[in-house]
Amino acid sequence: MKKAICCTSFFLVLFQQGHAKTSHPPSPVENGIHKNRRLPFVIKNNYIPPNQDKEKYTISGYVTESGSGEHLLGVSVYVPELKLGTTTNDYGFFSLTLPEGNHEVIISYIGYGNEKRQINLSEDQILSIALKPSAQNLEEVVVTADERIKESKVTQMSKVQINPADIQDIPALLGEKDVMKTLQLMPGIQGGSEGSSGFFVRGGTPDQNLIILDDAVVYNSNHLFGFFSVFNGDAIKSVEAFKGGFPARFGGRLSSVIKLDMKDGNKEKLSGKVNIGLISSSALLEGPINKGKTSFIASGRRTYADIMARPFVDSEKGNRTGYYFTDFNFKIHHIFSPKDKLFWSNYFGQDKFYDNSVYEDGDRDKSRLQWGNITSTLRWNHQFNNKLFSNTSLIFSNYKFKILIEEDFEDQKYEFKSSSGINDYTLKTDFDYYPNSQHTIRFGANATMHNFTPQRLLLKDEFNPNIDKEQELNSFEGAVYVEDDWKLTDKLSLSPGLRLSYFNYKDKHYVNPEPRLALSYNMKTDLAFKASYSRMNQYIHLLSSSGIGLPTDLWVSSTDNIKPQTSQQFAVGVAKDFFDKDYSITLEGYYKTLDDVIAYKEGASFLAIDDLETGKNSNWEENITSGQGWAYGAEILLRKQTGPLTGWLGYTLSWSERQFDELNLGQKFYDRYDRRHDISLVGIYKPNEKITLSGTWVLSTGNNYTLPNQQHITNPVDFPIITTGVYNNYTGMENFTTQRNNFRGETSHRLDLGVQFHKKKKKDRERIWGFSLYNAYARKNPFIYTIDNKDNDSYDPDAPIEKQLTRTSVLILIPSINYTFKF
Amino acid sequence: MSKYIQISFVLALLCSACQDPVDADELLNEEDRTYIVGYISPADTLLSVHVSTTKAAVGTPIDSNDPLADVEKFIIKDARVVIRDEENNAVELTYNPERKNYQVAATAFDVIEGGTYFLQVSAKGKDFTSTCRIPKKIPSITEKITLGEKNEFYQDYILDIAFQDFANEKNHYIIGATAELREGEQVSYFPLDFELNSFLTDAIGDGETISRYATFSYGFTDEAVSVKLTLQVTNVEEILYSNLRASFLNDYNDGNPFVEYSIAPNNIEGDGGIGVFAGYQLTEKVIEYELATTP
Repeated sequence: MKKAICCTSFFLVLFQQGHAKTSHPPSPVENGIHKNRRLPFVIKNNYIPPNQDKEKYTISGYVTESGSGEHLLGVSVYVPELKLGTTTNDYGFFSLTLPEGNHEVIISYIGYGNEKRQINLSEDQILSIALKPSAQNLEEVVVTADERIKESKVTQMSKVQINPADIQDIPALLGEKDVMKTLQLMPGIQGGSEGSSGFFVRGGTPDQNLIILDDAVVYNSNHLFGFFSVFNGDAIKSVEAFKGGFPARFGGRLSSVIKLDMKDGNKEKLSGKVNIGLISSSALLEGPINKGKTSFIASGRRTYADIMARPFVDSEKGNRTGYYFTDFNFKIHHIFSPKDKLFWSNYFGQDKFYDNSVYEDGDRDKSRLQWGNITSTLRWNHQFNNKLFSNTSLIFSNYKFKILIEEDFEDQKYEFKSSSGINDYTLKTDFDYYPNSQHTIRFGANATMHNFTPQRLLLKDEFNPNIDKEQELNSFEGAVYVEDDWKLTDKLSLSPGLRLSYFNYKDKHYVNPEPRLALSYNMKTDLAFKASYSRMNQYIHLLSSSGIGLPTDLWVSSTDNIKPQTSQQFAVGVAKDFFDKDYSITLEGYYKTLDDVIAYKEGASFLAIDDLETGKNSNWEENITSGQGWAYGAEILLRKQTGPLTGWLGYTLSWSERQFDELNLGQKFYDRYDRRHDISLVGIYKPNEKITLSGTWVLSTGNNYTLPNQQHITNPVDFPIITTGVYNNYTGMENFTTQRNNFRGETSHRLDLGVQFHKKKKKDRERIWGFSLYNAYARKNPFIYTIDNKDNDSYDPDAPIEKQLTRTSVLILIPSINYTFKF
Repeated sequence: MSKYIQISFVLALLCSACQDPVDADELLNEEDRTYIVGYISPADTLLSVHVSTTKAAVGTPIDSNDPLADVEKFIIKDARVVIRDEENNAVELTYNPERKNYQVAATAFDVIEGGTYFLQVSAKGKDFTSTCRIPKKIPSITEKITLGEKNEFYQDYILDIAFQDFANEKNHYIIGATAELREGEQVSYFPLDFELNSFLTDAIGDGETISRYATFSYGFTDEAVSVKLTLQVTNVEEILYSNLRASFLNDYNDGNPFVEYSIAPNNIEGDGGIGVFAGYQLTEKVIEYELATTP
């Protein structure tokens, strides 16, 4: 509470300071304000911007990509002389109210050429702007002056944006371009163990990340236990990650929002892309169904290690074993009228392990292990007028994990089926309102029905009675929100917001206000001080095995016993743009508290089912405990986004601590992924149109592990009851530790290199050969540590028994090759 | 389940994976500590306290031919061990090389229900202290044995043990049972496995009846065989409960990557001291039960 008061005071002081230092001459009204010592909140209506006396008109419209008609989001629409501007919303729409007269409007976007429009504003105008891609960023888009809304000009902080083109260029494991892995190269977003795509944002846990694809929540973002993410980069239009300073339109998770938007599909011509890689191939096709009106995009990916292995498996008798994962994205976009648009986007992804065995005597068994997501979003955009825009979405999201085991032996038949999952049905509506050049107001509401199935179990066994049972939880989550991006002066902007969230499970009702506040003060044109506060609530939780990303991870609801998780985050920072060189640098510090976070109790099984043979399952509510957490640190991001050489340098200094009454004897401990230092260096160099060179180097402090580091004599005094087990230790010694996460692993570092050779062909066709080397200098980074018995010398039966610490490393020097053809 | 996860992991690791021993000295190992353990009860005939040195889990070789004799070198044999009561009556325990513990006959020192006792240990030039309290004794145990599954070879028996929790106080219990079988001249003993259900609390309902069951099987015989079952319920201090539960869980889950390691609590005060000194009360009931003969 004390911290909250201090921080609020800090904001108020800063707020007042910000206004006091405005560069324009103080108006008589303002002088009066100072004399009367009125709070700055009342100043807004008295602030007189330039040209106040002139009539005002609104320019509005859409920004699209030339050649495809793809709507571009986050495009800067800026009037330098007035220092006024805006950015396009998620659907490429913008609205900017300006005084009448002649203005130069500059429309610019990373990776695209600038568009300058001279407008003589004497009435409301609709602009339709098509930006041309700037030939793979080769043209240095020199912004010689203050011509673009950049990092120092937005109120939002703690947000990083990834250019999808960068995802294609950055070297990746086995050539699988990975959105999530690319995000992990950003400061504040840390990967788990080597190869894992589970990630940890500012000391949070993977379940505290809200991952949304076209408005739909994606519950499991991993393939193959986290080695790959489910997002096929080919179909992605934009990737934004919010680490703090959350706008009120987002909620439901504590630590981050990862917002991914799929492309809408080329409205002008049929185009596509085929990619053949070492473990998977993918294809994308997009084009108009009704030119200029309706477009589609479809993309798919499948791994084929199982298919390639088939000739080597004895398949004649029906033996078949394999694993694959697949993704499929499909979207249709239809323009009813300039003011009404419809989008229907779908995602299907699945991992499947299968095993069919047929034995000599005719016995057979069959096993299946599969998990995956399905999302479907129907969105309707409606533009009421040139200042009010709305989007309404109907969303379905599903995650399911299934196990099937069937044994058909001569003397017995056994069938086991188990599944767990979640179905979400969401209705969501959002409004963007641009009343004038000082305010951008967003408001909306959403309602979600969660249907959880922690376990559905069917067990048929000739020797035991059949078991057919199902656990089901239904809950409702809703929220209303309003936020404003309010430009108080040409130097000071404020973004207050409020989200009121509601959750219901049976008779339990949770209503929580979530205030949000962000401010930005421009000390210079290209230098801004920023601060933010956000409070978040999370009503659904992932019972996870320490972020390894197993499919057995189980999403569960808050209940009458399990409270919602909450967090508060304070962040301060500076953002500096170097306009002439097109660099930007941000430095941020944050302090986050987490309450009612959950963890497995010591000794509790992460698996919902303890025993497959009997179907005995553990009650998940009994297996978890709640506690609190603290995360704090600092992040630096130096970034260059245009020119032949692009990339960034990120550094994170962080701490993450936890305290649970039932863990570690109630004492505070460092979280497993508490990592002091994280460095990432990313470079993409395109000397000409024929070649792309890229490299990443990452270094991070080791993760924490709980490993027994000492041993004592087993059961040294008698206790009348034999608690089974400990008597099995034949050495007479028992391992123990006195501290959770008592062991910090070794520092990891790795260099990945990539090269792509492009060849342009006729009719805009292009073929690309890509080569990459993951972990180029073969560093043996720790994947997991275990304590094992030292290998005994087989020639010396008297060799003593001794334990050793063993590091398992994976992914050492992995080369890959892939071929891409675009048409 | 683990089979499939392991297979998939192997696939996941794809091209390369390797294991290397790592020098644990800098990363993991700690200074040796003094390990002190003592559980006392009014029913004890001997009061016992153990004092030894902990060793690093990694890099401590133990003789494979006779490990139990080898670990004896970790026992501290020249410590001074004293137990006092609230009246400052004291008794010194002396080292018993046969039991490898410090012991004294219980007749020399009264341990009573509700009493608080203080342990003082001086070893390796350091002093360690601890305190325990003797909980109440459960007055009675009830039981029920029902027949479970059977096949042509054997019959399952389900032994249900029940007892009444003490109301208005937080209690921790460890329950168990042993079976004594006599077939002719041959007598065999085996413990009944309650698994994690051995460890019970009254968290689910203060003052209520607590019951748990264990299953045992016995092959059909031509002649009637009787089993003597000793039912045991101990009311223990929380630290003893947590300590034995942590040991049980770590042993039970050894090698299971899906389980978090349990941390056993410590109530030994003093620089480098670790272990537990705790009180308990044992209630036992012996019953005879005739096992089924060949169907």
